[in-house]
Amino acid sequence: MIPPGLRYVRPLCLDELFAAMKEYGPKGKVFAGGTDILVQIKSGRADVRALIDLKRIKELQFTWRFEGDGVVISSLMTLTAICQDPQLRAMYPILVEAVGTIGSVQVRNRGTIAGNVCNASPAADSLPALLLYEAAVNVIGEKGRRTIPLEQFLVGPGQTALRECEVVESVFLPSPPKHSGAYCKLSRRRGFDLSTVSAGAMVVNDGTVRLAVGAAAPRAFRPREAEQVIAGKLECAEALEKCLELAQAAAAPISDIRASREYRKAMVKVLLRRAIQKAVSRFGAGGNWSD
Amino acid sequence: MIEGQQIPIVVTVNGVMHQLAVSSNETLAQMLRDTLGLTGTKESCGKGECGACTVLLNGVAVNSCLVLAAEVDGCEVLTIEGLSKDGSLDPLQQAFIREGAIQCGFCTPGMIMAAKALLLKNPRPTRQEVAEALVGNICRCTGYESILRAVMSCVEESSNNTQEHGRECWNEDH
Repeated sequence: MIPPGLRYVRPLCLDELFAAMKEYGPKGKVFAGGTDILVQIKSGRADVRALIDLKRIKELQFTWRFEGDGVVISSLMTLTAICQDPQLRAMYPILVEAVGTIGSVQVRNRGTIAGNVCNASPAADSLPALLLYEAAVNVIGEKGRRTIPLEQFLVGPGQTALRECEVVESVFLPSPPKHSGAYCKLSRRRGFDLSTVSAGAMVVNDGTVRLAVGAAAPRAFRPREAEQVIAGKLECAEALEKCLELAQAAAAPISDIRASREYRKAMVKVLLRRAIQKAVSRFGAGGNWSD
Repeated sequence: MIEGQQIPIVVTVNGVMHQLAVSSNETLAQMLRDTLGLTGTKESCGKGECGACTVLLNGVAVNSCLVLAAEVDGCEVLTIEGLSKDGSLDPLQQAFIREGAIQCGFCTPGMIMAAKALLLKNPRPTRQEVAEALVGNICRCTGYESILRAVMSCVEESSNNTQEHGRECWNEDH
């Protein structure tokens, strides 16, 4: 049951948004899909005085657009819309694959990647893919707009670099090099579940490799040393083993209801190997997404 | 229940427009059940994991336990009650009965609404696509086989009978 004292605020423009955020301070939470914050409020895990609905703000009424040398995806674009967009699928196939593993149809029809990013769960599925694409977060406040690389934006479990009276306007993804990739998610059931461990791999046509690991550390991360070892050496079994070992060493999982830390450590290798193999086979199919 | 901030909304439910004052802490599920008396929509987990509360909001399936009533101002909602027309059941409802896909019946409204949402977008899904569309709906009784059969039987029906296919689009008559 949601506390009856909760206020609902519906700003229609950014000025009204910032006024509301100032009025309620840290106990005023912005939301779009509400699929994380409402669960937290209902379970008493969030101390919220007001919910500020972003969905009618006129300046945020876009899905995505080209900007600079890449695209920006609005904080209001639903996960379903991202999965179904043919251009986003073509340009950012790993992100679309990852986002498609989140929750269920019902959750994806409401949820957004801005929400997934700001909730900053260590197990969030969009984060490894966004890291592969070297995404950045566009944050707006009364003083204007700033862009924060995702790796810096994610501070820790449930913590981001957002300051008071700031909100994520969009997520920026630079235009990637020609590539193929894969996102592999291990969960307890083949259905609606949080990731136990996840791994993303991107094989770039210049021979470099980008890797990302989720749900095996306080934040999703890119194992940079592992990436360097495998660059240009995807055919070499020794290099692959060394790469996987380095990535595993970089993981710092916890034990929780879904798995033990030992199991997660072991699965980092398994999942990354799968992701790399899938990415390579998709690349072999013409550097192309469809497989 | 009627305490705290009241928000005026206009919402169309099953083709009928309502002007309501909803509480700030009221969910769509509560509004449908307690204010409008549409108790076909069930609440089970209350946190968007079981899908029992699934309704269509502007044509897409959502967990109504995670939507605030205040959010649906200006929106269209379709519940299980909105599927049957003039006392005759939607082909999906008939299929569930025919295939024995209803045991305790608690998951059924949400399951049918999720299936309906799929068929509105994709009238000829594969069995795998049906299973994926129903990932967010839990059934503790049937083991899902009869449910998948029921939905697939509607897919076959619509490809054999173009008149039935017309009824899939609930928007037409509202």
